[in-house]
Amino acid sequence: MAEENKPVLHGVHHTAFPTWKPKETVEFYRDTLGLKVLHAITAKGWGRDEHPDFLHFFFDAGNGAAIAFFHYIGTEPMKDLAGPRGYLGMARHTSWRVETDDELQHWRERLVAKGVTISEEIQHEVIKSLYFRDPNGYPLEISLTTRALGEADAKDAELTLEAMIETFVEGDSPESKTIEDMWRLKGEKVRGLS
Amino acid sequence: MAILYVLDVPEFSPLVAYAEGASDLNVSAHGAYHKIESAGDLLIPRAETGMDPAIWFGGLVGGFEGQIAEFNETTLKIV
Repeated sequence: MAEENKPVLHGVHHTAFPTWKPKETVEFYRDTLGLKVLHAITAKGWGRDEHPDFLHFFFDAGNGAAIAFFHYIGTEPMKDLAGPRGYLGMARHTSWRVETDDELQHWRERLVAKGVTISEEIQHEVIKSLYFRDPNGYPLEISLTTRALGEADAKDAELTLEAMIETFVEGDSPESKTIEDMWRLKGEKVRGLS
Repeated sequence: MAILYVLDVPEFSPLVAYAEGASDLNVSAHGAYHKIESAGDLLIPRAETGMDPAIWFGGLVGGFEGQIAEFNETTLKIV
C-alpha cells in the first residue's frame, strides 16, 4: 500500500563542493560554462573557533538549482579531491539536464570552443550524455532524457534491487556472488510474475 | 534450455527484434516482459542488434535462466 502524507521534494536546490582553486573555479563556471553568479557568502568561520573563515558561492544551474563551492581560507587542500582516477572518481558526479538534442549539441560546441575536453556522446538506456571535468577534477555530465520512465520501469527496478540485496547482502556467501547470480535470481522473480 | 527476459522498453527492443527473426529462438509475452527462449543455446550477436555497448552490456537486467557461456562486446550466449 502506498504510504500517505509523505513529505515531498521539488528537485535540487544546490549541491556544494570544496575548492582550493577559487579563481579557476569562478572562471570555469562563470566564463567557460557561462553560468550566472547567484550569490556569494563570506563568513568568519561559522562562529566556531575550529571552523576556518570561508567563502561560499553559487552558480545558476537552471530551473532553481545551483552548484556551489566553499573556499576555506588558509586550509590545506584535500588530497584526491575528486577521488581516484577512473570509474571510482567518476561515480560521484553532477549531471545537469538539457531539454532538447539541439541544447545538448549547443553545449558540445561551446565546450569544444572553450577548450574543454569532453567525452564522446554516450547513449545510455534512457539518457544521452556528455562528460567533462571542472578545474578541481569534479566530474560533470550534461544529460538529455531520451524517453520518459514509466511504471514498468519502476516495477522492474524494484525487482532488480530485491535481487541485488538478496544476492550481495543477504544471500549465502554474498562476497562470492557475481552479477550472473543476481541476473539469475532476477530471472526467477520475473518468471514468477503473472 | 535458456531463457532471457527483456522488459518491453525501446532501448532493449533490438534484442526482441533479433530474436523474432531468429529461427532457433521463440519470443512470447510475459507480462511487461518479452520471454526469449531457446531449446538449445541462446545466442545473440551484438552486430545483428545494432545496440550500442552502453546498452548492450545492460541487456540482462530482466534476468535469465541457464548459464552465461559468453557475454562480451560481440556475443551473448546463454546455455
